[in-house]
Amino acid sequence: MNEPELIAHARAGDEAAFTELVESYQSAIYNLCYRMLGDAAEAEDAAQEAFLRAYSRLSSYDTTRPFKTWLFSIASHHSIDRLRKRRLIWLSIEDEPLAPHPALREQTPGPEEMSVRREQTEVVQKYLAKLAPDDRRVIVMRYWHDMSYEEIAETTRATVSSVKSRLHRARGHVAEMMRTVKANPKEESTPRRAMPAPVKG
Amino acid sequence: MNRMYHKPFFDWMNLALDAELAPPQRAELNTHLADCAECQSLWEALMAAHGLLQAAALAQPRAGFAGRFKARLTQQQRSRPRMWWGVLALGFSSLGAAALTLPIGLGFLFSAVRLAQQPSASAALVSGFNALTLFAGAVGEALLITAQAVTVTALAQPIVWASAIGALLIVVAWALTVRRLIVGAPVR
Repeated sequence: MNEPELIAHARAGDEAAFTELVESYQSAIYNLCYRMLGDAAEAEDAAQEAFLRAYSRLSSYDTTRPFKTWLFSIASHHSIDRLRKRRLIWLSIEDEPLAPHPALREQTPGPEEMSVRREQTEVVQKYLAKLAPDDRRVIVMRYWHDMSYEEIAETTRATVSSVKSRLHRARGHVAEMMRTVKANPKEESTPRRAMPAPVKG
Repeated sequence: MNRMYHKPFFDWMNLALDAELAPPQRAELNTHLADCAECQSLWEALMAAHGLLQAAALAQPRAGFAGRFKARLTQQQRSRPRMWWGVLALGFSSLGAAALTLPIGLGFLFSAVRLAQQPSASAALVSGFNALTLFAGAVGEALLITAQAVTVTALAQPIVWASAIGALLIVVAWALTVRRLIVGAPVR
């Protein structure tokens, strides 16, 4: 069965068809949640919850829209909701330490490469954690899921120009953090929004 | 250098990284980068960030994700009838609480009005007030007289009886619902 057929069957209450859709999108949705939340266990829970929500809302899915965009929209909004709740508890999500993902560690073949990859993952997650959740979401969609400006805009219910602006700002912020770390290698973290607009004016 | 001058180049650098910059602008950007050390440094930083993000691997869930989803879906569907029983129990609880509170409140209100109309009871209340202000021991007596008057009046009202029986029936129905919830098959 192809995707539209699976969706039609799932809408008719066929759980097996929906489970096939889950299998197709599990990595993408899990990665989105993991990159947004920075914690493997929470990402698993959030991804599962996103799929459950998608299943219960299948009747409201507009079949003229791409299924991936619809699914990403549910998962990203759910992740942002979780971040907001977390923020209420911790006041600041920026200082939250993010552990490297175990699956990424397991994927690496040799010890040297494993070490490099782990380091890279830690660095990337550290930078991501310093971005505002909406900016982080745009970066994740662009870099890990190759989504176009238009697709991101549709998923996040924003305008294309706002997506561009968020992406540019977020990338500029990551660049500035990298530059700061390079200039002061001992400095582990930089203040949030060190680079609101890299070249003002 | 005027910072305003750099702004379009920052956007162009980002567009170039996303392969969205038109060739004429790209050429203009290259010319600018050759002349401007500040922008060249920023361009290098942006390229480094772009490279780092591009190289980051896709995080994979633990094996058996779809199976765990299926189990969770089944659990959710099993718990749905229990949820309805819960809603029903909550509804009955609310009705029970209202049914218990309402006759008592109404009875008290009704009795209070009747009491106010009875000279002896009013006198008792006045006496009670006086006693409260004058002698602590007399307070108990006045309250007793008042309570007696309220009870006698409340018992004489059919609406109080009817409400009490209704409340009792609702409480019994609520207890049975809760019992069914507790004794019912547990969700695994």
